[in-house]
Amino acid sequence: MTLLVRQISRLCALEWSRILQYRADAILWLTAESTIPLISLAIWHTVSAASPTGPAARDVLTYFVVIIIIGLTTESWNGAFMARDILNGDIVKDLMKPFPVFWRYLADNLSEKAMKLLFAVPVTLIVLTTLADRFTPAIYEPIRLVYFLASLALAAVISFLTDHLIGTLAFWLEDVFQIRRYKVILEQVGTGVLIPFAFMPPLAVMLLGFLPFRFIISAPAEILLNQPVQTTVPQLFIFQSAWIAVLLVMEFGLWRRGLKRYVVPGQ
Amino acid sequence: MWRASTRASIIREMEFRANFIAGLTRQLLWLLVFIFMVDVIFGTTEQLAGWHQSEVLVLIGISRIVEGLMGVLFVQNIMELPNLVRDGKFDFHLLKPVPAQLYTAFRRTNIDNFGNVIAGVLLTGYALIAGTITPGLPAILLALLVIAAGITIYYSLLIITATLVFYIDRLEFLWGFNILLSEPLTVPFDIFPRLPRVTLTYLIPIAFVVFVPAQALTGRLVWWHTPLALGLAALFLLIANAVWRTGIRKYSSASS
Repeated sequence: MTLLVRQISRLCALEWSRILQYRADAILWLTAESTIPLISLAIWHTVSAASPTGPAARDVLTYFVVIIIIGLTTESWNGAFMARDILNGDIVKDLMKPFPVFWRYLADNLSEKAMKLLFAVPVTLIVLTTLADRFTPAIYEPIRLVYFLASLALAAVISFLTDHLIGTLAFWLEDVFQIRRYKVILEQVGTGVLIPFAFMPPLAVMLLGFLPFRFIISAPAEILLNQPVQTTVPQLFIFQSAWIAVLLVMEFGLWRRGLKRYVVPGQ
Repeated sequence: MWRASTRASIIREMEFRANFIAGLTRQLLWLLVFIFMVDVIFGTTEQLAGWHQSEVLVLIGISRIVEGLMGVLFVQNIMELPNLVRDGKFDFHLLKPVPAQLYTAFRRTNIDNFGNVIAGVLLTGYALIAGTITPGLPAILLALLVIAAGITIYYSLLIITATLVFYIDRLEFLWGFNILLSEPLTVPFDIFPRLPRVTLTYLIPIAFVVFVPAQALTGRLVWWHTPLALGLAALFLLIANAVWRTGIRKYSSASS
């Protein structure tokens, strides 16, 4: 265990030094990643201000400010790198190293996130504390914050596993990137970034609400705002844990089968 | 050269038909997502910052057409510039008997984006009929003129940003910059607070890419926005060319 912690912290340190070199790039990405939630905020804030029913404008503002931070904390992009490494054979270098292949992707993911959050979290905290009367009061309750952080950690694991599950498909499919592009569409709708679940018709909540994407972005926000949609806070935690279990089984099952049939091209 | 490149692109795409069809299906799915979103919005309210459902659909239709066209013509090519410079392949662009900027931006025709154009035309037609919006010929011509100016502005903004690659060795953010520019195109700019609205109309004038043409088709066009669009397009193109020429002087080959 100590060895694993030492390995991952050393890898994180290496990745951190690489990210530091390209810190401007990481921070500019942060701006781009906040664009969709900000545009959605503008849309749904206008809708809620014009509509006497549905979520209040204050809740909509809080929801989207919170999901910017959730999005930055849970995002995972390394599955694409893994797919590329599998397809061009570069992954063999990692297979020979004395630690699991996933550690490198995890270290890259954690380091870049840390760089982005280093800038995003202080700005959000300043906004939330100085303009507290504009946000939903529930988010300032300490117990909500504890629940939120727990849910956020689970959400980050779901996101990482979902992303790598699709990356692992590269053992079988050459054009795994096409699947990733389809995933992006499902993600935009299923996470609640384009349309918050609170605005969706009940049938859409039922259909999209059970996919893993809701539990990556919307669930932690619903928990922090204490406004779970067609469910309860404990149920959201149960669904998050269940998805992690399912994804872990699928990911490691696919990984083992994929490795057995893997023939390295051009090495 | 462009015609030959387009022909080659079509042949290449037809070699991988399944991939081509998957791309078209994906673009259709995106359109369905937007229609679903509009349906949910107008299930809650009757207007979005003064825009009715069919007018928002017209705007989304135009956004699909314009984004599709830009994707077919130059977006993907410009996005590849950082990799070309890093790998040293940009040297070959400089040796071609055509202006390097034009060759870099238009060398490959990405016809897989054409699905967006078709979907956009169908949606715009449907929204105009369903909303009984009947723009006259002058309004359609004005919309086309502003779209051309808007695309020129968008192209110039991408070129200006891509030129940074001649000064710094890594520019992965170029994709992010494209997201930053393209995401607001699908909404009426009236929903934005004053500061971002003014910024996106006059300073980084992407309002002229989709929003102002949609205003032209739905009878909301402010008359002086047309000459302004043409003036801004000319100005940004000049700036982009100047910035590109300066950047090229800083370029040092990475090839051995």
